[in-house]
Amino acid sequence: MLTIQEVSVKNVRKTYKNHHVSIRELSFTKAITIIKGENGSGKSTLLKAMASLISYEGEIVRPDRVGFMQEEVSLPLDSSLRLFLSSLRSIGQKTKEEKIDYFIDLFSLKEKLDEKLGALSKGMRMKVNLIQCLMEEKDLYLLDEPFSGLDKESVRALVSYMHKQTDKKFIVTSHIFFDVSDLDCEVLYL
Amino acid sequence: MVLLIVLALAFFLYSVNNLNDHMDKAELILLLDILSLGKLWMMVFLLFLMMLAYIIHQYDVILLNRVSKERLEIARLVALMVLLWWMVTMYFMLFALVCMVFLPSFNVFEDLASLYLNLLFLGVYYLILFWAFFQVSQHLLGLVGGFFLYMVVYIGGTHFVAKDQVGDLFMFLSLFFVDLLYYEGDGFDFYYSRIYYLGLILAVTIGVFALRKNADLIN
Repeated sequence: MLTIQEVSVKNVRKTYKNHHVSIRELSFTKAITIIKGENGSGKSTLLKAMASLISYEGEIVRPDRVGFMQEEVSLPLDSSLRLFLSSLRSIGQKTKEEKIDYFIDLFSLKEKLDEKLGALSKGMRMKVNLIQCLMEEKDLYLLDEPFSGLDKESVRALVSYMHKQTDKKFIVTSHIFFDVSDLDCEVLYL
Repeated sequence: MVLLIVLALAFFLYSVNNLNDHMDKAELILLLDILSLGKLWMMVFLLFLMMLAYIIHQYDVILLNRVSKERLEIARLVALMVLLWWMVTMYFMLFALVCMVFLPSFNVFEDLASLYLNLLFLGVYYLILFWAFFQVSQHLLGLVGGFFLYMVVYIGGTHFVAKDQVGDLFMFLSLFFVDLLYYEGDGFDFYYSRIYYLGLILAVTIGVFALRKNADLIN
């Protein structure tokens, strides 16, 4: 099983054409970490580097099985929610049908199963984006701005789900302010 | 598909009109016309296919959570090849039908089959080439640039010329931008051998994978 000390970042630097992002040292000691910071502070860059989706200099220690949810993702808008999730189920790891049902219930999307993704609201598409990431069995989930566009109930549902996962770790970025005093999590500022 | 049928029928009527003036080479001229339209159709289709796959629809992050980037890229290329094969097959089936119904005295089916295979080869070659252009440039202009370079060869290529009479510029362009032409003495052929172009495809594919190995997968 993954131990908390196994996720850390040291002297990570990413150079873009016009600017660079550097992060000296971060260690993620709790099961849920919320990274806060202004726009452009490097939150998304950090997650992409941790997910090995971009090249970087420095050292990142993380488990092998990492799930990444990008804030803005292009979904197949002509596909229905049911078809989209079923087609993802057959790629790579085999995810159980019950798991999809569980997330559909969690985010109250049961009535939208046969609707096309293009017909869903921004908040609902964010839920779909979350589901496609969380339905895969991973040790570490990197969620980029998962709360943006979500209603209070869905935020509560997501937080409650994360708390229940004792063998998984979540690193979540957020630029919006919300009260985390009642959450058992650590907050890091970039 | 409707566009394809309209284009094919318009071309067929044009071609038949042309045949009246050269009845001695009627079958060959018909095949050349089928080939010319086929190449143009295939390249335009390929360009739009690549734009759809690499610029308009990008589900990369969702898929990269599930499979490796190499597997994803290979799967995408294979899917594009299948679509290309389907489009070229439809095109030739349409012409085979047209020839069967309107020109029963013509015996072009053997040549049509050979053209079909050669056009598929050409399609796969340019699919890999356009893919490489896009992967290196990471921009729509890479794709469009590749397409226009082919158009230069398409317009500059001349049928009924012996291979040893081909100009230096065309010889040089043919090193990378192959075209299927009717060469005097060789029939429908590429300027260099198929082995050369296959080797080039392989080298380009390996080169692109090596080049993009440590590159950013998303912005």
